[in-house]
Amino acid sequence: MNPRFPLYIPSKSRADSRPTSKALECMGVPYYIVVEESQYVDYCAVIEKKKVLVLDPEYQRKYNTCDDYGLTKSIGPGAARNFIWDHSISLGYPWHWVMDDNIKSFMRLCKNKKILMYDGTGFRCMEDFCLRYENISMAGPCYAMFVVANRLSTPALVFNTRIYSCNLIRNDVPFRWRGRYNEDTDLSLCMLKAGWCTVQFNSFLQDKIETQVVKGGNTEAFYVGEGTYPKSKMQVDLHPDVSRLVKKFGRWHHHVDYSSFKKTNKLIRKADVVITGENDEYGLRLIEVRHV
Amino acid sequence: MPKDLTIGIDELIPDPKNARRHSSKNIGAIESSIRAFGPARSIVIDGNGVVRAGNGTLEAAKRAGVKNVRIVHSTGEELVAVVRDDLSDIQAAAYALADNRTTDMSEWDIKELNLAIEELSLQGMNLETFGFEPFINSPVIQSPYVSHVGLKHPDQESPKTEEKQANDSESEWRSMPEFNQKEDPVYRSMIVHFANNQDFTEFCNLLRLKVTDRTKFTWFPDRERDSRKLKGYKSDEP
Repeated sequence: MNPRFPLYIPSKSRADSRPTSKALECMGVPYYIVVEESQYVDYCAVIEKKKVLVLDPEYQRKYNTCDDYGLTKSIGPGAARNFIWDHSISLGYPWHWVMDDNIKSFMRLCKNKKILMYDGTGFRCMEDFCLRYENISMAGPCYAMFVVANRLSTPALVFNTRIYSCNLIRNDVPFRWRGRYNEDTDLSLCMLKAGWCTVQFNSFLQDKIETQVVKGGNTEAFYVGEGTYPKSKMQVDLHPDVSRLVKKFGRWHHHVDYSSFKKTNKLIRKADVVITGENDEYGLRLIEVRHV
Repeated sequence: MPKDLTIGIDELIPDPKNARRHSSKNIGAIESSIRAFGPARSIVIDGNGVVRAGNGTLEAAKRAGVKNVRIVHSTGEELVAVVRDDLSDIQAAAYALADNRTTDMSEWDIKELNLAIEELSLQGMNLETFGFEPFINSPVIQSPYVSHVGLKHPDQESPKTEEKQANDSESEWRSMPEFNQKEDPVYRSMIVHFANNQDFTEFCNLLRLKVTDRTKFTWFPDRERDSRKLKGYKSDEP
């Protein structure tokens, strides 16, 4: 089963490795990959041409980096993500998916086990969940590495928190990506502060390759040269009311407190939605996998 | 802080960053001990009157009606002993048990503990020698060891806290694919030290552990990896 809404991967200098692209190909899920014009040929050499979109450079020029460095430093994936947002609107879709280019697989968590997904049903489930409500603006699967499988207290959903790396976004909300760093956190906070709800799924997971491990993307553009301090500092500057700077495990991080939104932003279920006690498996069944 | 005198108990300031959490049951037990045996253990305050050790004792002493605190200045070169001539042998033995038990009843505040470790590490303070080795340079918050060492996961909300949340995960997830998590706790975790790479490799080979430089913990046997390799989910529906 495939998702209802289009999937996009903004990618840079990862034509060879392209983990997310390979994962979606393996699952048979259609997608677009958005690249800078200079790398179009590289990507077309390894991915079907109709899936490769060229980023309109105007989006980079107009992009709000939230600092004074302009285009003298890499601006991160935010501009491409705004291009993607508008592209999905131009195709007539009310929502779109945008995901990092270093996700190696997608999983389902059930009965204490993280099991690989071999089609797009997980995306469809997450979409259907969001469509039950009036006021969800963004949702997405949690990182597999953040979820402890053998714990009763792991909920299927975490409400009103940061959605990162694999985002299902409602197109008609009045926000856009901004910032050279932490775009995920900033967009989540802008939505939450405006009263919208976000949903992070533990029932479906993304298995992302650890940040700063795969070549290309932000690894080369940011962290190798300047470390994580400017990234975390920008977060604190943009949202000082809920953020603070901490050094953890030898690197600078930002700590964001989402607790107030968990108490105040309440889901509003659509009037015509009927929820029964029965599970809907969406036809999902376990299959034997020979080649992994 | 004036030299060797008695001050009012309300002049002491509880530590706002105390990483130790005292439940009402814990405070109640300390209060009972104070009522039965009187205050015995000394607490530690800094030059500004902030309580650095003994915040639970301070709170319980107030509840037990203790009004005054005797100030003893020390430079850390000698032990400060509180002599209790008034206690009988039986009372002293009972007090010793109560003192140890009330210490057991408090627990770590994981967020404050993490922050304190980070801040002190930045100042060059090595906490490993004080028994904090399992927490340092280890992803405590995500670690399966957390419940095993008596720490609470930040997302492991108590029922009282859950009531304050606006949305309920379980009821909202109805009519979606089965989730059905069960508690499957870690039986035991232990840290194994290796003197060299040869020992480490031999250990991994003997137990058939697949580890990399980035591996922080593993299971024996390696159940998660096995289950992933054998099966996957796919839908029958178009």
